[in-house]
Amino acid sequence: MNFQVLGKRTHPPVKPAGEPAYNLKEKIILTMKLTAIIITVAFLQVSAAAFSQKISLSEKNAPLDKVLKQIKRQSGYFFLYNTELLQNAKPVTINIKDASIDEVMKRCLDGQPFDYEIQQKTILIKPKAALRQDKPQAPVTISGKVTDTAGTPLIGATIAIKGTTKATITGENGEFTIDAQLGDILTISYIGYIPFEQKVNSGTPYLTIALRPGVKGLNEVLISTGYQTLPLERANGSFAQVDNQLLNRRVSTDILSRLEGVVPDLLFNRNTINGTAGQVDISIRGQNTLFANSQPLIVIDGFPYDGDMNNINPNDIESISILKDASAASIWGVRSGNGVIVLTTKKGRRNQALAIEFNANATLGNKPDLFYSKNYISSPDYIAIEQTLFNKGYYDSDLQTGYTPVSPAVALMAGQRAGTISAADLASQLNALGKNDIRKDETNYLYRQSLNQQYNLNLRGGGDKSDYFVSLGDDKDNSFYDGNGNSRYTLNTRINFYPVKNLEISLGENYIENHTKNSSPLTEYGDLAYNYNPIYPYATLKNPNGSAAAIAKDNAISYTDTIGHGKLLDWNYRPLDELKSLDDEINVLDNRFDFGAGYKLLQDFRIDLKYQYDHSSTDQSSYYNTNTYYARNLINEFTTLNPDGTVTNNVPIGGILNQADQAYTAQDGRAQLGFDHTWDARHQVTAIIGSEISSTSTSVDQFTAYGYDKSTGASESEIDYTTNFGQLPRGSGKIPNSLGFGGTTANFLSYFSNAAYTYQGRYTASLSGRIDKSNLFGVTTNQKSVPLYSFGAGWEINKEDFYHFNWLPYLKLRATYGYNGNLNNTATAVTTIRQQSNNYITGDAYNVIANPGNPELRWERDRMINFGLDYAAKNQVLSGSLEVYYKKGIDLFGNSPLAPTTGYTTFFGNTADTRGNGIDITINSRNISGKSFRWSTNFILSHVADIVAKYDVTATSSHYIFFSSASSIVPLTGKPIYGLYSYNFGGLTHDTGDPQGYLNGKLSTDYANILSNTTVNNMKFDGSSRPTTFGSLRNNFSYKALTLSINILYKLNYYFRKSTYTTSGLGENQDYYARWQKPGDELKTNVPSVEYPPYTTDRETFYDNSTAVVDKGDHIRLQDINISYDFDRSSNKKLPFRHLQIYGYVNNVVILWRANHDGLDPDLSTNSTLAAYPLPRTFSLGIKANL
Amino acid sequence: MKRIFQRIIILVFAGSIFLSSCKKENGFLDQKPNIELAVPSTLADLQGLVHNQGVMNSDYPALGECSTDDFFVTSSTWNNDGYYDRNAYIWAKAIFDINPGINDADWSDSYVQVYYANVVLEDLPKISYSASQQDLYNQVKGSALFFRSMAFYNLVQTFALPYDPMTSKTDLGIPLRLTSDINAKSTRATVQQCYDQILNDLQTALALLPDKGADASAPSKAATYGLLSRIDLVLGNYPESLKNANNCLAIYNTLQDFNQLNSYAFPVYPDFSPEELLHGSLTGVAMVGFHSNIDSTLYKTYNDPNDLRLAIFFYNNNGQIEFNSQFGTHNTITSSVSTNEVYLNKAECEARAGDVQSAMTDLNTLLKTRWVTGTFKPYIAVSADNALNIILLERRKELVFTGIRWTDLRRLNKDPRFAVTLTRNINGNTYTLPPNDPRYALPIPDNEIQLSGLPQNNR
Repeated sequence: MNFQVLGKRTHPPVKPAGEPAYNLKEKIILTMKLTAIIITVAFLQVSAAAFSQKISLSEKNAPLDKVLKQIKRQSGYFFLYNTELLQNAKPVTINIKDASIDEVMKRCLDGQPFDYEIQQKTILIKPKAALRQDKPQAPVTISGKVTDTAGTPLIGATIAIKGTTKATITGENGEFTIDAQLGDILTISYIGYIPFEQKVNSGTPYLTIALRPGVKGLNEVLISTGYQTLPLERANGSFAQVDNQLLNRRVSTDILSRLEGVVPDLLFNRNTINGTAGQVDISIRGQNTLFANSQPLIVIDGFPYDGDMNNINPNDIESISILKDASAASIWGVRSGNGVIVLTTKKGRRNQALAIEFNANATLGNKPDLFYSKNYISSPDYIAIEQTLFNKGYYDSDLQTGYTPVSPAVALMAGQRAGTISAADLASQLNALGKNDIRKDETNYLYRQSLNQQYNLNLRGGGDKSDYFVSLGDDKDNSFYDGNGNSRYTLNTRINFYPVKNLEISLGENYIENHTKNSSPLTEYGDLAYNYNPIYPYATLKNPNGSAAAIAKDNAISYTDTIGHGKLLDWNYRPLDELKSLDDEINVLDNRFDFGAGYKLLQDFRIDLKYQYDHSSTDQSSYYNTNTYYARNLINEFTTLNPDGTVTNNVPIGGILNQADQAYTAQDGRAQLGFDHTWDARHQVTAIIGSEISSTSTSVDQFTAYGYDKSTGASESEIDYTTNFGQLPRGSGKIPNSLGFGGTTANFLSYFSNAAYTYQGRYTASLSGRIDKSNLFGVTTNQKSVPLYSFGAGWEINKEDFYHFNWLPYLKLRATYGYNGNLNNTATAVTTIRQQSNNYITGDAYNVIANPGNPELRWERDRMINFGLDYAAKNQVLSGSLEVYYKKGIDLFGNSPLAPTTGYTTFFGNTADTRGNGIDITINSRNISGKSFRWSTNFILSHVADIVAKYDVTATSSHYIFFSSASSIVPLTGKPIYGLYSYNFGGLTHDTGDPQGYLNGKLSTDYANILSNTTVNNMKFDGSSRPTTFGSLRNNFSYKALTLSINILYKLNYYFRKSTYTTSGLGENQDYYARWQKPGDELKTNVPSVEYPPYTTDRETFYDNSTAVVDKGDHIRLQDINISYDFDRSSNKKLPFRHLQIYGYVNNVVILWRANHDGLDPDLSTNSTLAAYPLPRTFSLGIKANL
Repeated sequence: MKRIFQRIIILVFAGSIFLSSCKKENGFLDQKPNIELAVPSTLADLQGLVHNQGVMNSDYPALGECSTDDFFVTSSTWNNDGYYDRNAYIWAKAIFDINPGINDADWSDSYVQVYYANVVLEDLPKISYSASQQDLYNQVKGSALFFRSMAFYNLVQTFALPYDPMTSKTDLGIPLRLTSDINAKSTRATVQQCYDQILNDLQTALALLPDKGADASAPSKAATYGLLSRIDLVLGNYPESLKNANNCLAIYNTLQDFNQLNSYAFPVYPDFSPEELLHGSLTGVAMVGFHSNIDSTLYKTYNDPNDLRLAIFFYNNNGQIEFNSQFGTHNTITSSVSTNEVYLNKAECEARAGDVQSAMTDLNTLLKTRWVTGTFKPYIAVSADNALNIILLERRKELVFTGIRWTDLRRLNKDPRFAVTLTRNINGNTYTLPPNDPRYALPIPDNEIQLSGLPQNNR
């Protein structure tokens, strides 16, 4: 517990006095004492004698605490005392029979420096007041100031003299004055902050005391479930809490990525298609579903948030709670199956002077390393392969059409064969092509260094009857894709009113504007003609004269150049021109408003009403002016070449606009009754009960405008969308029209309750239940709804009398059991049809059958049993937790194959079960806690295994082998949910370098039969394709005001299938260079010989899916480094700020170790064609100032 | 007093939490999750289902067409095509590759049509409708029966052996699914049972359907007669076929004058040809498409330069004669019931009955529309046999790439006069398909065999 204690400049810093404040047990006892004092006041007139009872004792030189335990056992009285205090106790010798409690106590404490006080059944042992009076001291007047760590004055903080009822509170500016005796101990406390003690010495200076927010010690942590805020010590469930300091360790424009590597059990799936594309893909404690939603529920200030996470300004978030087990999350019912992430935004505080905070940073990122990609062979090698294929007639059918695109090299070869160019010319031109390298051009012309800038300004404060928080944010991202960028403006305000006693009214408004521009041609460019994906390595983007170069995309250049006899628009595709012309924008407006009122009545009850309205609109406009390839291509395709030489443009010449407007509206209302009461200082009950109504609707409408001019808004109104026009070069079709409307509504009605009972502060029992009803499944399903419930128990062992481990003052055991739910809104209980508007031929309206009816439909349920152990050693040298859990997914949605004669090839219903278990370990250690140098370490280890327990239908082996990956599930009973399967590989043949598989247990090259005879039973199961063991190791160093934090992430025990070269064609991969070329190579390589052209694709299908290309994904990564330097006005008077921090941050630093030998980053999806390179390293520099 | 008052507040509040919206609950929870979704409850809803052209008028099996002698592909094209197309092309014993389910469209898409029809037929009796909607009701019901029969017919042509009156009561047909219940088990009916079901349902449909549909995607009496005429040919019931052909043409007999067509336009017809009685198209089997070259012997039989079909049907691609597929919308092969086919059915039946005069008149009526105006020389037959030969060749030429050749091969092979052995040459290998070979029934997709336990065709 590092209190920042700052004296006036003329005085040396005051060091914390008295007993170490971080003694947890003492803190607990202090809390209890305060409680006890309050109770004393309440029951002052109660006579202790009324409770007296006969006690017999016979002890000789026994430790006092042992004697007290004896008394407790006999009397049933409960003792409250400070263990530190008791260390001063003298041994007790006593022999007494049938005495009253008063008598016994007097005898025990005879000659001891203690006094006692009996309150009902509780006996408070306290230092003897007389001691102090023994040596009277002159009173001294102490004055000072209480602030938070940022230097903001805390108004209303309590300064009490320990052991007395004397106290004062801080006024304006956080200043106080109090009269005390020398040797007194001042307790400075403020709600939400860690109390601080200061001994009064002669010459105690003007004190400047900075209280730290109450998040550090285990038992001060407050976690939010979205419905209530609880002290972590009273919770039995599995929670993780990320405080503001830890959230700000990472520099990013989104909030969720800041959780990576700091929360146990939370895995960012980066090796999936979504993860690689930069979208949120998180799993908490593995996977609890097969085909329903797999992402955790996000809650902001008590209500679910379904909008885009990129809309949330991380600077507005105060803290995050992660609810992991059934007990923690089941209050969220059917949306809790994947865990819940609860975000709490910043707020002002009552009686707080205006505080201004400013945060600005800039993040510069490298260009992605295109040379990382293994999907590359050199241009001359590629041309050589093309030549071989050409000679064998591979391209003949393409060349025959006259319009199918072929590469420049193949076009030259065809020209030579037709006699239009000489062999010498061909050789020299191919040679010239061989000098090109597309990776260089792409790096130079299509990528740039990324630059993200973030500015945030917030103000907070409060008076007696209100408080406020206002935050303004401005974020600008310039992506490393040239032409892509994003800018976001956020305004977040919250005002709380306290008009009369016990009433609290809260108003919040969150306004977000997000503008995204996507003008990089790389997406469409990545989708080139079928033979050339990825593009041939000798393509160039710029001609020698500096103009943009053309690349054959959909049609052969020889065709597009000649077909229209000059009557068509230029039909060439030039990526660099696209970069200038593309104009794709997404504009998001999100307005979130909430209103809440809370009223306390009868002391124990609290009524809360909350309402939130969230409306966001997302307008996506893809505008293609006539310079874009998209427009030119569409216009040309739909041009009719008339016999008389004229042309008819069925698509008008002009710009094209594809507009899609989406809206999202969510309304949530909640009424909640809370109860909190303590009896006899040892029975504590906390309960809530309430109901909730929510309605979320989305709508989308889209259209296409042809002949559109962005500057005037004019467009052609007469477009023939119904005629089936002939298309160039061949085929026919209608003019594309995106016109469409859609909408969804999700309504929920829920009832929830949650109760916890704590006995003597050491035993806690908790219970929660929730019933959800929705419009998704239909009324019959709702009628059958069963509550999702949980219960739990916690035991603070260190509070037991038999507990003697002083070195481990905090030890808590807890266990929970319960159910979470998950929903899937794609299935319905009745047969439904969907009206469509564009019939196959005539274009009119028609219906499709959307879903076969399934009256048996129900929620998915996840049962979890969790055991936890929390511990903290003395002085928090070591603290943390250990959790073990068992889970079962019940009634999960699954696809079962159906015989096609039913009209369906799959059936989707509650057919599957999963089971899993896991363990997670958190160790926080304070290695060095010196005066100026401190070193602490946080270690997280999570292990999770998810197994498919029941899946009715087994697919064919090829189904598992081809389709299972880190992104897609093909469930197989008894195997991990994300299993990876392959064909057994038996090396290469000696003579031909053919890959060998196994047929009937023998080595074979009969690929067709290997493929068809490999069964589910004899295919190879490689392992899980998602990490099963993962975590992080974070080291934090600080020297005076300089802080350094380094986080290392590791992911272990998983497998991936790497891409390899297609042995039969142009699949570019560096494995080409490792291929078998001559007998004997089979000893050095597993990469087969080439086979051009293939007679069947079975050979490469076998090899590409064999164990030969499966590798371990295990790796350790130095994720990031944060360095910061703090200036504080208290140490530097001239500083214009109260507090100033300068920080630097490096992300995606380096992979320290990887199991694979190909230098691959296993955190990339091999299924994804985009972004096939690791995230570039980024460097940030920032400043944070408090005024 | 104040405490009591506060206690009442709490009780009322707690009570209201649980009683809140109980009454309105069902309305709130009945709201459609997606505005596009509906529970079929009106005639219009069911009409929308039979009017689904993407299901009902599309994806008729193309495997038969892929196996015919009307076209060939080069080894180079063949090498680049998929496993499944290539194997079907050379009449391999097994044709499906191991990718589960991806090649079963020729089988499963027809059963999707059957499922749609069954949903409509099961829901119709549950729907209330007004007296004025009786015609619409009949039309929806007749359409469902028609489409289900069409699907069964297409499946039988592809996956069951050709009709043989001697063995049809034992030959394995296809599963006749008559329920939408996905839990019902599929078994293979006999070939005879299949045709009985098809003919019965089409007779029922005849009584329900209007003479002519709104467009060629909608079943009608004319289309039903046309289809019956085709099926009767398959069954060798020529008098019945003739009767149905006459009934069809009595309602609608329009032929397209090819002189009116623009061979540059692509496709020639924007939506439907005026000759179409019921529009259908084949699944997209890559082998049957732009790269397929017309069989050279067959091509030579279009030996009159005034035959406009040369320009309309074919595309000379650097010397390779490719089928232009120009009747197809969406670049698929059209396989419709059309008046040109009905004229040919009629002529064939007349020739078989010895009515040479009528047969040649009907043939010439059709062919005249295919020639440059004023250049057509009517065909003359010297005998019934001669007439039949002429008609069968012209039938093949006129109906090239419409999916009908496969059915014709199957039925004509039963007659030694017309039996042919098909050959393919690929990569230097020669493959043959003798008449009446068991490979005239294509294999049923593996996933169906595995999941339903159906017996596979013995090839």
